[in-house]
Amino acid sequence: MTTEDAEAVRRAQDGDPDAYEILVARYTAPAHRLAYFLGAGGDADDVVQEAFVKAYRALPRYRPGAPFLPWLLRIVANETKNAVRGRKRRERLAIRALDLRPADEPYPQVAEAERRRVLLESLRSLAGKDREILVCRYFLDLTEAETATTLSLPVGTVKSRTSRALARLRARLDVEVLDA
Amino acid sequence: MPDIERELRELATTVVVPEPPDVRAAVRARIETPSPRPARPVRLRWVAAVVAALLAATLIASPEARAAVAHVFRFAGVDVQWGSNADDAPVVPESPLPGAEPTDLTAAQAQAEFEVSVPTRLGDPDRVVVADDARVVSLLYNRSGRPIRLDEFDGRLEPIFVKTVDVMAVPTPLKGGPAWWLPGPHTVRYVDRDGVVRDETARLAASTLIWESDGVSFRLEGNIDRAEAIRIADSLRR
Repeated sequence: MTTEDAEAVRRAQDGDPDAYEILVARYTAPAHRLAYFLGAGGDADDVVQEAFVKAYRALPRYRPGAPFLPWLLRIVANETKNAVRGRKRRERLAIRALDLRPADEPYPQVAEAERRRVLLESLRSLAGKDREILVCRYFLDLTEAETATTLSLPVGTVKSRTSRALARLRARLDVEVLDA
Repeated sequence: MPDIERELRELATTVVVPEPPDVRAAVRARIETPSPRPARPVRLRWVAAVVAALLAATLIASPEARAAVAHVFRFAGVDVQWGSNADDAPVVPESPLPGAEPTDLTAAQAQAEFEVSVPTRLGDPDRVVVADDARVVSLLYNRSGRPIRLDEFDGRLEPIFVKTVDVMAVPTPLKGGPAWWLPGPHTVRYVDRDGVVRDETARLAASTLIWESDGVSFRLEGNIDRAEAIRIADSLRR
């Protein structure tokens, strides 16, 4: 955790709303991204707001020195589950969230675009728990330890599920390349 | 072959994500207001009321029992209700757990939001049942005519099982933490996702060990003694 984070957290714990606002501004984007990819759908904005309020109230239980972002993201992940009831519903929204932006260039590299599409399809077809881990690792750029905290999983589980899911994606891409 | 991890990171930049909201003002307004609790959804209030009523009805036993109730109540989703009214519970003939359906271990592990554990002492289960949108996963064994059942459930939610027992729970330390041994038969009540309390009286009329680990609660039931229950519980592997 950066020293600015540590300082802002310490001041927020002392009840300084300006200090907390620094953290809110800094981490709204990753919090929103996580909520969206975990299936918050149209509730993502509310989830972020609720998570920041809950995190503020939980600050007295925050362990000084612990990284702030994964601690916050864990609250976001739980809040997403509270906001969107039903695993299947969240699952549908999480899959729908994985969608490609229309190509910016008029003549995109066709092979590359196709490969990206296949990769996205493969990601969508993974089991939800595996996909959540890959989203944390590669879409939010979290470390294994941060992912473990965020998803309330042991680090060993994050490691093993990551390598298993990556192997599955590789296998899918290889098949597509052979078929092409 | 291109590195798949690098490809995933690149993919992340081409996936559409809506603009993040600016929640600063809203968060600030809420944290500066001293009334913290937003209204809870009706359903949760109702569940809480049921649980509170059940608990209130039970706080009649000895101080030790009260302490145990308090302890078990905080114990990740399992409530123990003391008293001798196990037979008064209304019998619900249909499947006590909502949406219970047979499946296999792999499918259950994929469906459940928690990590499903298997006790190596028992090995792979003979049957697997998931219930309530995979909030509960049950592993069923038949070991030389002795049925054994291990329920695993998402203990991070509201209290799910409510038991009525007429015996004292015996604190039973496991390798990974505390557990409680409930010798003798009991009624199980389950609060489902919709807040409906379901009674189950037809379960294995046997002893039970309950414990919690990493946010998952376990209930091991069968015609086994305490020592064997401890051995099974200590052999859990994820």
